[in-house]
Amino acid sequence: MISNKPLIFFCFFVLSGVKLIAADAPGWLCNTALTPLPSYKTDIDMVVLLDDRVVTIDDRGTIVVHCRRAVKVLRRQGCEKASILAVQSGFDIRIRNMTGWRLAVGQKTREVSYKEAFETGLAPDVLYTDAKIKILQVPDVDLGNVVGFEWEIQRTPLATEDIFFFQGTFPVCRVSYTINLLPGSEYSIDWVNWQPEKPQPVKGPASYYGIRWEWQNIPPIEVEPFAPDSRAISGRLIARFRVKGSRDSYFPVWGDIGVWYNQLTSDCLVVDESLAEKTRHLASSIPDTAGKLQALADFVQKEIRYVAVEIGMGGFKPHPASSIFSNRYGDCKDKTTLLSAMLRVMNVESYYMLTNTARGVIKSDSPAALYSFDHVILAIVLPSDVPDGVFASVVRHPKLGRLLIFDPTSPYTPLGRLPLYLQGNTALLAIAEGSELLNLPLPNPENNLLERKSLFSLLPDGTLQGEVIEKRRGYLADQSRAEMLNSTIQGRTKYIEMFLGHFFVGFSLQEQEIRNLEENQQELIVTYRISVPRYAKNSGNFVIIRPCVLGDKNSNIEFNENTPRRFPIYLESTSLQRDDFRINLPERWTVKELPPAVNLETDFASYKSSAVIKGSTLVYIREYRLLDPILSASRFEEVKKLFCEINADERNCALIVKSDGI
Amino acid sequence: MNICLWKRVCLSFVFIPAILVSAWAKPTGKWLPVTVEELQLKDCPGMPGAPAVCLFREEYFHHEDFVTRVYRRIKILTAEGRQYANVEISYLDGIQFIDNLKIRSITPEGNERPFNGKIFEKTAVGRGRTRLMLKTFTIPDVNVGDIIEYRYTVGFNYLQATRDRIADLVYILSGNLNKNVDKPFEGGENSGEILSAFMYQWNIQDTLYTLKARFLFKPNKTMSIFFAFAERLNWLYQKLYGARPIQNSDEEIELELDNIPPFEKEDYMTPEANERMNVMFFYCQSDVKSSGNFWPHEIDLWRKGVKKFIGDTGDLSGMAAQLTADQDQPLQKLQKIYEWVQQLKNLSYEPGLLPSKWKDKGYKTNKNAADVLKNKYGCRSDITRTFVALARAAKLDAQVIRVVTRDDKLFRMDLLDMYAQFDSEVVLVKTDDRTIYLDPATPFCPFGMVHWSRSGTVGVREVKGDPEFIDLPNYSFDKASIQREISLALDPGGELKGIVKVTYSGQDALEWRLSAIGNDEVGLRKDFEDDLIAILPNSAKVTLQKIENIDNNQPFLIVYFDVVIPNLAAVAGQKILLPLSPLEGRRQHPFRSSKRTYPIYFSYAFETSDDLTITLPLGIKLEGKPNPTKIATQYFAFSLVTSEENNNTLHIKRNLQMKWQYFETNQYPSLKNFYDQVVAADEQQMVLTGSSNDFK
Repeated sequence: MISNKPLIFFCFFVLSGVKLIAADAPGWLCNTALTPLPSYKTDIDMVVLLDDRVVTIDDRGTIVVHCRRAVKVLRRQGCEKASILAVQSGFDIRIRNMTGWRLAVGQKTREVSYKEAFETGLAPDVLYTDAKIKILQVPDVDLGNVVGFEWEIQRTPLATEDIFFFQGTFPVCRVSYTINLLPGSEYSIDWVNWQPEKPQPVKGPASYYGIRWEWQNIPPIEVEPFAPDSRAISGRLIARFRVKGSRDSYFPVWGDIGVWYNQLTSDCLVVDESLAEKTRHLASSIPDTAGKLQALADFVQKEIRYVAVEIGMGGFKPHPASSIFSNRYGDCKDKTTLLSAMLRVMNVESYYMLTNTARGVIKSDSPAALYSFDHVILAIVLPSDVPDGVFASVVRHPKLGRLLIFDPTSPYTPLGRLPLYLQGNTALLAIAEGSELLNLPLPNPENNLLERKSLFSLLPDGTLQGEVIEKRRGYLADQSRAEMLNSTIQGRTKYIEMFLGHFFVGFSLQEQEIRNLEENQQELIVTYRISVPRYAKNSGNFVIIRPCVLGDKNSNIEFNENTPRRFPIYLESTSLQRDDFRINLPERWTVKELPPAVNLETDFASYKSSAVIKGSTLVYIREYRLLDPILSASRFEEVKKLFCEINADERNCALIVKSDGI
Repeated sequence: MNICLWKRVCLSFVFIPAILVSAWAKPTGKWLPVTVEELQLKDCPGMPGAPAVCLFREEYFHHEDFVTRVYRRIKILTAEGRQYANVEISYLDGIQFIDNLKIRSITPEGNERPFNGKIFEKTAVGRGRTRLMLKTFTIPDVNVGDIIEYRYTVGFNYLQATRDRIADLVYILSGNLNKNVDKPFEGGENSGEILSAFMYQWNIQDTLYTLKARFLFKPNKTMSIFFAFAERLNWLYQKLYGARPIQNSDEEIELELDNIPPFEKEDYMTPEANERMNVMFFYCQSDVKSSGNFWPHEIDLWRKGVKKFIGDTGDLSGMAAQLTADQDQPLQKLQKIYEWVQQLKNLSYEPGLLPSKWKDKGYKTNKNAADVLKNKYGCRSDITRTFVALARAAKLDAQVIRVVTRDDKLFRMDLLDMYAQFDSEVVLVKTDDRTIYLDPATPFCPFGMVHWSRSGTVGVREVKGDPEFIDLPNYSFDKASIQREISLALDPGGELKGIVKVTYSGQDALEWRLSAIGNDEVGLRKDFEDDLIAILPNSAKVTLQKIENIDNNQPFLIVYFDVVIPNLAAVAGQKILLPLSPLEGRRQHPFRSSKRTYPIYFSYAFETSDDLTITLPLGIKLEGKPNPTKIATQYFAFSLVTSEENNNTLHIKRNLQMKWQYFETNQYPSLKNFYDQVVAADEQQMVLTGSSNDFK
C-alpha cells in the first residue's frame, strides 16, 4: 500500500489520461446501433451487433483488411470487454489506423483515436518478439452503451490467406465478409465449423471486383464439460487468394505448406564441426541405434532450454542449428531443428511436423491454412535396425516407412511417447514431395497408466494407517513431474497433501518418497504413508468405512444439463487406471454389508470394481480403462452415466459391526 | 485539486523514479569473488529442492545522484531453475536509463563465461513516447550447477521527467485501463503542511530464497532546498527478525541480511502489507522526532477540516428538527437522521464512477454539510460528516472518527503517514447510557453497526481534548451469522429434493448487500447460487427462488432456493447410507496444509447454523445414527445433533461459531484440528434400512 501511494495520487491527478473527443459517430455505427435485438439469455454480457471485414488484395499480394465492429453492452459485466480492441502488428502486419466510439443515449458521442492506444511487446512464453499488440480502449462504457471500432491493417503475409474467426463467447447479430480482387486474381473460401454461406457480387473500389458474404445470428460458444479447445469448435472462414502472376505464397492444399516449410528450413540444418563432434560423442558409447536416438533426444530435450526469440520471420523460421547448439537454448522449432541436424550426423533422416497444440484445430479434413499452426515437432525415420515395439509413438508412412514422432519441447515426455496435447492430434509432415497431414497415434491405455496399491490397517479407534504406492506412466506421469519438478521439497509435500485433502480430513502425511522424478523414461513412483484419524465412522451399531479409499476418475465434474450437448467430448487420452486397496480390520470386527460389485462396459471405456473380504482384510479392486477419448456430442449421456456410476461406486461404503456389539 | 493533493503530486514527481526502481537489486562496480562454497552448493539449505537460489543480492540507491546500483548472483540448482537465466530489467523510457550492464556465468568448476548474447529492448506497456521498457536478455549455455550474475545501474534523466510524462506513465502503470478503484472513495483529507513524506522502500523478499543480501541507501542532503519538510531522514522496518538497518560512516543506511525466504501468500493471512519484510524511508521535518509530535499535528489538521465541513450546526437545526419530529429519545432521533442520510446519493458507491468523472456527470464538490443537504449527494466523508452535523443540530453528542480500515493493513504508530493509514470515517455517538459507532456512509449498513473493516481497528477522534487514538471494538460472532433452514425429501431414486432458506444477518448481510451494488439480477442470482453450490455436492442443482431485503438495511437478508441433490445416498449391501449433512464439509475446510507461516486472520467472528430436516420415503427407516458432536472452546465451538421425528423424518441441527478472528501461527494446529473435527462430523453417515432395491 505504502509504496504505491504516489502512484495512487497521480491517478487522482491524471485519472483518465485518454483525451476524449466529443464527436459525431460514423453513419455505419449509428445505423448499426439501431439494430433490433432478438431476445438473449439474461446472462449474456454483450452482443456483437456487427462484425464486418473487408479484405482487399492488390497486384503484389499485399492485403489490406478494413474492419468494423459494433457491440452493445447488455450487462455491466460486459463493459470492460466491450470497450477494448486489441490488434497485433508484426513484421508482416502494419496497423494503419484504429478508432473507437462510444454511443450512449442522451450523451455526446466519445471518440478515441489510434494515438491513444496502448502498446505492449509482451507475449506469453516468448523472451523477445518484434510483434506488438496495440490496445485501444474506449473509456466510460456503461450498461446499454454501444461501442464501435474501426481499424485497418496492411499485411504482406507469407501466405495470401485470411482467417476470419466470427464466432466467440458472445452472440453475433450480423457478420459480413467482403473480398476485393483485381481482375485475374482468384480466391477460394473454406468454412470451418459453419455451413457455407452464399456470396453476392458487390461493387469494389476502382478496378476491383467484390464478393460479399453476409450472415446473421451466430450463437455464442458456451462452456461445456470435456469440450475441445474453443479454437477447435468456433466458426471461421479461411480465404485464400491467388494473385495474378504470382504463386509464391498461395497454399491451396496442405502439401504446399509442407513443401514451403521444408524449403524455408533447409539452410537451418547445416551442421558445424562442434555440433557434429558433440553428436558423435553422445552416440559413441551406445551400441544400438535406438539408444543413440534416445541419447540425442535426451540431450536436446534436457540440455537445450526453452527460450523463444522471434524476430521477423523468426516466428516461422528456426535459428541455425549451430547457433542453437552454442547458445543451448531455443524454441520448439529450434529444438526440433537441432535434433534433426544431429540426426543427420548419424545419417538418420527426420522431418519437421507442424501442428497445433489445441487438439481438434487441425483435423484430417481441415482446409489448408498456414496460420493454423502454433507448434513444431519432429518425425524421425526409424532406421531398419530399430526393432518394432521399441518406441510407441510411431506412424507408418507409405513412402518413408516408420516415422517416430517426437516433441523435444515437452520437457517430461521421453522419446517414444507423445505429450497429452499431441496424442490423437494431427500434424503436417513437411517434406519436399508429398507433404500431408498425418494423424498422430493414441497410445495404448497401458502407456498412460496410473496404478495405486496400498495396504492399510484400521485401528480400533477408527484410524486408518498405511502405505500407498502410486505408479504413473505416460501423460499422467508428465503432469505430476511438471508439478513436482517446479517445486521445492516442501512444495511437493504440499502437493501431495492437497491431493489427499480431497479424500481425507485431519490426516497426517508421515513419509514420502518420490522415485524416478527426473528419469522420464522410467515410471514415476510416489510412495507415502498416511494416518487418517476418524476414517471409520460410527453410526448407531455400525462402523462405516469407504473401501475406495482415494482417487477419482473425472467423476466429480459438474455436468451442464441446461442445453443439449453441442460439441464433441474430449476425455484427455486413453488410460488405464487400477486401484488395489487392502484394509486389515481390527480383531472381532465383522463386515456385515459390502458395496455391490460394479461392471460397466462401453465401446469407449470400461470400469470394474469389487469389494470382498479375505480373512480379516477388506479388499477393494477396481480398473478403469479409457479406450477412446474423443467422442461425438451424441454420446454425452453415456459419458455422463458412466461417470455418475463411477462416482457412486467411489462413495459406497462397507458396514461393519464389532463383535461386542458396540 | 486541493493544496494537499497538489503537494503530494509534486512529491510523487520527484520520488517516483526511486519507487519504480525499488523492486530491483544492485551493487558494486566489479564482480565479487566467487567462493568455493558457492561453486559447490548443490541445494538451497533453507528451501531444499528449490530450482535456484539467490546467493547474493545488493541494492544501492544513491538519492543525490538518483542512481541505483543492482547486483545479483544466482545459483542454478535444477533444470527448471535455468529459467532464471532469462532476465528482464524494467525502466522508464527516456526518464531512466540502464547503464553498465555486465553479465556473466560461471561453471561449477569456476570457469567464467562472459556474456556474448544479445540484449533486447521491448515495450512492457506504453503509449506514445511514454513507455515502461524491459531490457531483456538470456544467458546462453546455462547448466545445472552454474552461477549466473549480472549488475547494472539505473540512472535518472531529470530533464525528461516532465510532469505530463510522468503523469501519463503513472496512468499507464496504474494498469487495467478502465479499472475501478478497489475501495470506495472516502475523501475528507486535510494535510496542509507536509511533515513527513514516504520516498523509498526496500522490498526485501524476492521470488527466490536469498542466502545473503545487502541494501544501501544514500540520502539526499539537498532535499530540504526543494522541500522544506525534507530536513531529516527517517526509516522504519518490519519483520527483519533481529536485523536492523544502521547508518554507516558514509552516512548511508545499510542493512545486511542472511537467509531471506521468498514471500508466499497463505489463505486467511494477516494483511500482506504487515507481513512482508521491508524497510521504508521517509523525509521529515527536523522537529518531527517521532510519532509523538507527528500525530497530534496531523490529527489537528484533520480536525480543522472536519470542523470546517460541519460548520455552524445551528444552520441545520431546522432540518434536524424536521427529521426528528415526534421523537423523544436520543437513539430514535439518531436513527431518523441516519435513515435520512443513508437515502442521499452516495457517489463513492456509484458503479464505475470515479471521482475524476464527477464533474463530467454534473456533480459538484461539497464544501460543507449545507452543500450536501442542498445537493442531496456526496462521497463517504461528506455523508458521515453531514450525519454528525445533523446529529449535533439535534443536540446529540456525535463526533467523526477517522479510522484505519483493516482489510488491507493494520495500524502502525511508527508509520508517519496520516491518510495512507487513516483512510475512512465513522461516527461515535454518546447517549446517556451508551456509546455506539455508526457507519452512515456505508450503504445498507444497519443502524448501530459499522462495516467490519472499520471495526476492531484504530481511530482518531474529532473532538479535541480526548486522547487522539481510540480502539474501535470488534463485534462478537453473533453479529455475523448465516442460518440455513433446509427441508429435503429423500425419494426412492436416492435423490434429495427440497427447499433451502438462508438468512443472513449483520456483517454477512452487509457484505452481500454491498456486493449487489452494481450487480444485476442475473449476476446476483448466480452469485447466491454459486455460494450455496460451493458447499453442496458437485451434482447438486440450485435454483434461487426469491431474495428479500437485498437493498435495505433490515436485520435479515433472506434468500430462498430450490435444491436437488441426486445420488447422495450410498449403498452398503442391503443398507443405505446418507451423509449426515449434504453440506460437503471437506470443501469448506480452509486449512488443509500441515504447515503455516503467517497468523490466521478472519475478517470477522461469525456463526453458521443449519437446521436440516430430511423426510424419508415409505419403507425406509433410520437404523443407525452418529452420536452427537460437541466442541466448545473460548475461540470456537461446534455442535451437531441428529434426531428422528415421527418415524420418517430426520432432524439435524448444526452450529459453528468462530468467536475469535485472529490466531497466532502457533495456534494453527488447534484451529486446523477444530476444522478437521467439524468436517469429520459432517461426513458421518446415517444408516437406513430398506434394501438397495428401494433406491433404483
